[in-house]
Amino acid sequence: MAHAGPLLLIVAPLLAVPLLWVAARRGPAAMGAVVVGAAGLTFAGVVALTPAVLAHGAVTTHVPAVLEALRFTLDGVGLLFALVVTFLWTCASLYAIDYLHHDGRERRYHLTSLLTLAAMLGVVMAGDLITLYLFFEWLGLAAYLFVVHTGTPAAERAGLKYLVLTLLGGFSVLTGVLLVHGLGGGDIGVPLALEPGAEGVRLAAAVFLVLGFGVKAGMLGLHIWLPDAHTAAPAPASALLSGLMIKAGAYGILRTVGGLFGGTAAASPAAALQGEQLALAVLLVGTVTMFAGVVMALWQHEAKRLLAYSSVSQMGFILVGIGAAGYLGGGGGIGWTGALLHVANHALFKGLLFLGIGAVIHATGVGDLRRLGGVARHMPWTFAFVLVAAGGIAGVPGLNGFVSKSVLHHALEYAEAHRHLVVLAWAERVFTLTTVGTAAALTKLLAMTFLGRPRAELAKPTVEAAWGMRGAMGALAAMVVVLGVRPQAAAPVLAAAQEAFGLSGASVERWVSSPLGHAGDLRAALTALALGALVHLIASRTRAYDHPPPAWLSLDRMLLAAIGAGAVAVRWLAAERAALETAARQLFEHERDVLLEAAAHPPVAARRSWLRLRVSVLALATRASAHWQAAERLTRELGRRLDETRRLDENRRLAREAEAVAAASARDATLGAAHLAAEAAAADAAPVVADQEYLMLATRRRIQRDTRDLSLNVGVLFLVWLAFLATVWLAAV
Amino acid sequence: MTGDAVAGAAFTAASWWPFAAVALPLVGVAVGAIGEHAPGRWKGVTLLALGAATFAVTLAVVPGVLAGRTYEVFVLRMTTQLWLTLRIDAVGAAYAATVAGLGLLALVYSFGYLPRGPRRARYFAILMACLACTLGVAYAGNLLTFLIFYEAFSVLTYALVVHEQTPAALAAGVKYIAYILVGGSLVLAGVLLSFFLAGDLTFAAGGMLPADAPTGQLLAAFWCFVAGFGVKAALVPLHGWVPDAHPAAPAPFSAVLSGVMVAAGAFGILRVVFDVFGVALVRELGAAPWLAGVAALTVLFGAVMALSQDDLKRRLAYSTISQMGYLTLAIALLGAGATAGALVHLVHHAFMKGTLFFCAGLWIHGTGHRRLSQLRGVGARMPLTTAAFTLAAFGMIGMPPLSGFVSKWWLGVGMLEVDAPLALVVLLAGALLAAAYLLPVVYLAYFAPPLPTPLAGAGVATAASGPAPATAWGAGGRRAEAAASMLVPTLVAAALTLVLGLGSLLPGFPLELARAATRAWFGGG
Repeated sequence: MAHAGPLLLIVAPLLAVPLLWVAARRGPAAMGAVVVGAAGLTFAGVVALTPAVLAHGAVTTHVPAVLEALRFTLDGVGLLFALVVTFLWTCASLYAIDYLHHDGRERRYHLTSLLTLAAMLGVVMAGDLITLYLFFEWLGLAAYLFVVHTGTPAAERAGLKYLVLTLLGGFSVLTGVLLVHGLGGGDIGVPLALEPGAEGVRLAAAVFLVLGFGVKAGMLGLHIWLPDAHTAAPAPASALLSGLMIKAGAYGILRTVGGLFGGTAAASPAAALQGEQLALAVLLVGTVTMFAGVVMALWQHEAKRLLAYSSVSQMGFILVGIGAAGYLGGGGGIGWTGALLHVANHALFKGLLFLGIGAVIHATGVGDLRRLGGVARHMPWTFAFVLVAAGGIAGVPGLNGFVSKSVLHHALEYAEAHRHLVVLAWAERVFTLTTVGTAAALTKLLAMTFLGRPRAELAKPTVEAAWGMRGAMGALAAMVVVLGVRPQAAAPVLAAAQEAFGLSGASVERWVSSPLGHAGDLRAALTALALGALVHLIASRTRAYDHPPPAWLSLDRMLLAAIGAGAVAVRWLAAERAALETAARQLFEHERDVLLEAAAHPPVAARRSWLRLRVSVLALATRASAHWQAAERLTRELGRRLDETRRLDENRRLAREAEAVAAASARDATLGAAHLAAEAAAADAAPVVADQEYLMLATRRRIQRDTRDLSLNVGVLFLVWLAFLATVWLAAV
Repeated sequence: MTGDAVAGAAFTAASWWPFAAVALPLVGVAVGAIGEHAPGRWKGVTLLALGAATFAVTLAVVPGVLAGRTYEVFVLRMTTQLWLTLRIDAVGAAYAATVAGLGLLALVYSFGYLPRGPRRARYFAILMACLACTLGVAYAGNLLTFLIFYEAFSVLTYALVVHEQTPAALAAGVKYIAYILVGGSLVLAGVLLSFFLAGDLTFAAGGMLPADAPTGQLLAAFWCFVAGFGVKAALVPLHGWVPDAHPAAPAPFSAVLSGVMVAAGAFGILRVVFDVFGVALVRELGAAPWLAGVAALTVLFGAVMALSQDDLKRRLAYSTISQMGYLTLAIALLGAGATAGALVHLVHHAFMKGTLFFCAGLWIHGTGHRRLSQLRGVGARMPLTTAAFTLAAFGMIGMPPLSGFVSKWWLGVGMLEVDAPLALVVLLAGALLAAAYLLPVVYLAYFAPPLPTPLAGAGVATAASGPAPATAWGAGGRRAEAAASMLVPTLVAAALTLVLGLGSLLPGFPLELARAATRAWFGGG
């Protein structure tokens, strides 16, 4: 059904952007109110659209712009995402008003919030891949401002990592989109036909898309930005990043696996097989992701970092659901039900956890679990909310996580029963282990933050969170309970989502009918909880948390080690290894001498780039030689000296400017004091002004070089010209 | 003109439009040449009016061209076989509108940018002459006309490159003129050969050279043209003048130089491939894959070189080399989609790169700094300028929905059409490298703290002499945007990045013109 609704939803937050500037005059709280209003309005809008979507399956809008048209489709899948997005956004924005009090950068935060909200809604309502890519890129770039919001060095490092990976992921998605377009596809939900002979391209498109979206979704191996970024952002932004924005990646994978490469109805056998393989790969990656994430979470000392790794793990659950659904094909309804319900549930409880822990950090100024403790006494409300959220994520029966995890577990069992793959039987065991790990990690978080006694003196007395923050957390906690007690409430939307994948809604009725799940679910959940608590008890008694897994297991390091191993392999492959080493050592020694000599004298600006080159040559040489440690120290030292020289140059220039100022003020007799001050400044900088001669030399050299370049260029061109004329003459004759 | 030559064009109408487009800026030459003592501001107003009128003329012909009309005016008959003629077809109309549009923006910008002085009149006169000749290139109806206008604006450009007459500018000027004259002579050789082979010089969609001519001579002509225009189009290894000339020239002219004059080389290659040789002949000669290889090298080389440039304008100049490589690469693939993408990219790139150079000029003008490392934190001081730069930079990288995304999309789709996945890899690698060389600029401008300076704390400068020294900026976060005459064209060009991207499908926008042009060359849809 054509309906302008989807477009209006995206435009609404953008229209609120100018209002920020108006509200800025009335103070930061007014700006926050604008964002809450805009987010609330979009929530109301999505709710208002719900009946239409449920009745017609989807509402669509066309905007003729950009390439052919921006197409927006709000179907059941998009509806579920949109409802969660707008609801959590409203709560987080309400929370942000009090949280950002006296932050000083409120406007940037609120502006980012509005832009990302619009982008997020665009992602989940995109009707074709190009539109999806557009909003996905927009979301990734705008969210950068969230990551670097606090402006600390840690945030900047996290931001850089985030930006690089986001850009690479974006280009991967773009490549996939281009390939899909080349194969004649592009609409969300329409399966990509498989022409004979195009299997390779089709598979490449799938891999590019899944990897690109996987960066955002925190897929294992591509997740390395996530813990840093989610820890560095302010708490309400962390809630949005961890609760919602990584879901944009999951959404992309879901559309890829379920829509483009799924398509149970129309696909040819070959295409169905390819889709199944892709889904199986996603499932296995999801399994590894969920386990690795929770293991990493267990060893974190920083509360927000623990939550971030837990997000990685929970995204693994969602990937497992998507993979199982795609793998099961026509019988995959259970997988979609589990994955989609878990998307909603994870958004609610992870958002709430970040808000709650954020409130604690806000109140105490401490984020390290080893220094926290006993906060429950001072912040009973926050404790209650975090307790609910932790219960939800750990799978306490009666709370929302229990339902979706049970469904996911059954989906995995079904997938195993489908072809009896051994690897899936193992995946099922890993799943169980992961639920235990999740319970342990959350027990750790709760116990070390809220229970016991304070482990460190805090600078200020701990007080309960402000009312606005409590209200936002309360609303989320209420939803966690409601979806736990009455999961049927989500059934209509889930059923509509199944239709988007060409399935009937029957599995929804079967699997989300009762808050107590099916036979065995209750026992499994309680066992996992008990084991989780036990794991935490043992780990805290035996001080296992103080012994993290060895650093060589870190993926960052693994990557570096892989590069190093590649280099070593290349070296081994070289026939004359010894000769190479000798040559490298000689090169290293030569370069060292040259550079030491050069570093002893401040280099001219023109020579600096040359020196940089030499430094990199040196670095290369040392990689191959046995002296790498000493060499690295030396390289660092040289880099430092080069920086110093640059500063020296800067000072020299400043001194010249100071002289100019002094001369100017000297002419101006009325400003004698200024003259003195300027003279003082010049005197400060004077010691480095000494070498006029040196500058002259540099200039002369540059001119010489330019002249040489010029004559060389002209000469070469002349030769080229002659050669051409000769060719012409020869050809013509 | 022979009848079969105008495949795709419905009919040809004798018309004064092309003549007017070239003549209006020539009037401006006279106006501009009048010295600074001219009374009041009428001189500026007249120049602006002439620029706007030229732009209006180039736009006014677009509907007619899209309807299949070809406007032609006969200028001068030299011999029975040689004559000058101006003719507007779809590709010429697209290029001319870009030239006139960017030229108008640069003209406005120049009023604010150039200091009062004796060289101001010279600058305006030559700028207008350059615009007139570039429009002549766009509208040239045969090779001779093309050659004459091409050589004229190439030589005139010299005066603008050396405008500031610093030693660096003069050196860059020598380098520029040496490169360009050699290139020009190669083009001349190509024209002579073509005349020798075809006995005629009129452009014809589908080619004017006889297919049965000796292959050696055809190849010689082809490579003469490509090497000659390649100098202008900055094909590696003929690009040497570009990174020197751009930083030396005044900012508004850098924008024009990068946006449309380097593109003139690519435009020349386009004319040669499609209107002189024709697709079939080029395919038969087998030279296109080599050209594509050179172009791919250019894309990657330019982008990699741009990474390490600290001088902002130099970095942008290398970026131009890389982006112009896309055009040649797409042309050399000889596919309808890729060629249409190239034409769209020509237009879109002009305004994006124009914006970037305008912004660079504003930063240099406002802070006195031209090195990247000195422009840290400039975003707080010049927020609008920095926002414009950001928008254009994202466009260059190819972020949707900006214009750069649209053109790269069509380039990519065109490359897939002709089964050239390697070209697609080059395209995407170029875009990724563009992110790597442009985003640091944006990052430094917004997020890096300004360089700490001893003077800033001393409070000397403000007390001593009116304008604070450039080093003290940013400390208090004071805003100091440039005058409206420079800021407005910058913002307009930045807005065009968005408008051209969002509205790329609107009738009369570059895409439709490009498709009309490729229809004539490749036939059918």
